[in-house]
Amino acid sequence: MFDTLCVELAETEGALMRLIGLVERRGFTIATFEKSEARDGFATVTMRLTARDGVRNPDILSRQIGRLVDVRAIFTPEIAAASQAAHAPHQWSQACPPRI
Amino acid sequence: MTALPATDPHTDTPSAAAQPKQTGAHAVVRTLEALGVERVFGYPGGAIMPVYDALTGSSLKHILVRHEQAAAFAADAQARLTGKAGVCMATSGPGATNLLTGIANAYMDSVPMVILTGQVPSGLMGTDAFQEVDVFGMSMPVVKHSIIIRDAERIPELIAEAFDIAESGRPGPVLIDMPKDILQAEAYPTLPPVSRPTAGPSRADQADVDAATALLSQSKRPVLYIGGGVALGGAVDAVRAFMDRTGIPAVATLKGLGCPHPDAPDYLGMLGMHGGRAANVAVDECDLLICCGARFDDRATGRLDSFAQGARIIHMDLDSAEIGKLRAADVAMAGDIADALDRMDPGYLDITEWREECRDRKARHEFRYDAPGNGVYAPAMLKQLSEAAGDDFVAACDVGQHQMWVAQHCRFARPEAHLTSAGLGAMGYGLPAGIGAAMERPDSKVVTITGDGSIMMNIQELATARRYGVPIRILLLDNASLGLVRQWQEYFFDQNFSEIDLYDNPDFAEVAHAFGIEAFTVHSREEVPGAIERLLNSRGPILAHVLIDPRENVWPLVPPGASNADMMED
Repeated sequence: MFDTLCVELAETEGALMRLIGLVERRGFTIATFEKSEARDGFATVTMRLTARDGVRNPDILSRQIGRLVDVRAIFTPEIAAASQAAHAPHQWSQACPPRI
Repeated sequence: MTALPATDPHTDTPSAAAQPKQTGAHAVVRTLEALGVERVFGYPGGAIMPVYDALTGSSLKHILVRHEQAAAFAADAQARLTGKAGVCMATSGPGATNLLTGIANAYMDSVPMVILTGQVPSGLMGTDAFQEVDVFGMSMPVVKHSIIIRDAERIPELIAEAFDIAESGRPGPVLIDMPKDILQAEAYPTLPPVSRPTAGPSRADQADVDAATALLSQSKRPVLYIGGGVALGGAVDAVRAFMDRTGIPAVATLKGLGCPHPDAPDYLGMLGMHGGRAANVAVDECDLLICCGARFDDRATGRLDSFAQGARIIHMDLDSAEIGKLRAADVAMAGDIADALDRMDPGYLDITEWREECRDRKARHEFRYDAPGNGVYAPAMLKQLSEAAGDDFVAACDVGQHQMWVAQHCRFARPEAHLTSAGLGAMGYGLPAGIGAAMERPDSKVVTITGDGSIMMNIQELATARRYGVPIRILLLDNASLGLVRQWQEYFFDQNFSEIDLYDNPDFAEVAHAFGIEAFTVHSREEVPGAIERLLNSRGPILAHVLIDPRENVWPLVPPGASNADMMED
């Protein structure tokens, strides 16, 4: 079972390493990984993931990713596609858990 | 970045035009001063030497520890007492790696800390230079955030940002790596504003508050499960008011100790592996568990699938990532715990029978202190110590049997009075944490409670205590072994006592004397009252070396992998 997460990530030193490390440490395998070119200081990373034990919840993972200072938004491909179609990328951040 | 004005408004000092050459290192020091930092724990070395050079004439008080790990632990303890980020610093390479255990400790317990590390010059980074390690990469799993400073002009902005991140929301450590060439570069940056804006916590949705209130109204056997997030979120008074208002029995985790008032009639004590029977049975039998700032840690829950297995769950936490991580919540309330509790008003709760049952069990399973023999019984001594010290008591624990005895037998009127390495369980924490705490609260009765295994992990810090005349009392419970490991080997490894015998310990009183510290040894029970009096009446530093029976164990004990209801008792 694979889940796809899209992460809007600041183009800052260590941000990518921080994101990948967190995903691996929290028990997920990255099956595919794609990073866009940065625009206005932010890039979009799309990952297809699977829990190593088949049990861990990607929703919890997305909230853990949301704690990273470098992350502006997390969303599913469906939200991304809808937002891009509506030319309203700022709506993506609605899927991001509250920063703590 | 705007250039400095003729006179800097924050420091009232002449600006670039009128000053001698300023460097990145000066900017580091001046920024810390501007942010209100008064004390920095650290140890110098090659790459961070420019900062030490810039310290001359600064209002910052630098505390020279004898090992970088101690700098991190001392800064951690100071932060736990104040809620403000503690600051420590070290050089690159071994200095930075020695900090890592302390950084992990702060991360696991959500302690605000700012860590400054020197780094080899930018041009040498990535070339395996002398004393180069990638501490930025190595520390990533155990920091809230980290930064490499690449531009000296941005030093004030980035350091201010680090403090903001460390202290806001769920606190944590932030590492700043500073290449030497950046520290030596000429720089005249603008300093950050003196008062930093902090965003308030989010509020739980009213629909969730209503759902939680409805669950509570239907419950016949509710229990409050209180964790460290209550103190971190400033919700101690709200929790106590909620307990008074509803009469719901409460249990606490190791980090939650001191959040419920210790004398509250419905407070049942610590739950978990070394929790009391009243607490563990109440959780086992409850029909509603209200989790406030706890995270279902394995030491608290025992076997997770049997933990409160008949209960609905209300989970409140500032950090939404903790909700549902290990146990699904029926009602999830992410946000300010105090605010959520204040908004929950279930009215009259028909729980009288349940409260009486819990109170009765608590009374029947009170700890006993009438151990046979004339040897020092550590639980009794710790109880007497905390009662004698009163509300001024601050315990800085090390890790092992004594740590659990402190949690079980000492009385904590406030959570910040109990400094303990809870999540990481780092032996060696107690002495430097006690030093940090006693420097911050010199008028409190700060006592490091340690063991013969733990103190040897950072015993060199006796020199720091002596150098600065730190008002610290050290109670060293010596069972000539690694007691908690020995206990597990006794019960879970067929009494195969492997590598736990510390028969050849030095005479710790003599060691303390060699560092120039007052010390004495306690051999028997009759000496205990006098020892406690001497310890507490001393300004310190002072060390009491207490000989205890190596066969003494911590009870109760939930075996690994067992349900909390299946606890072993003496």
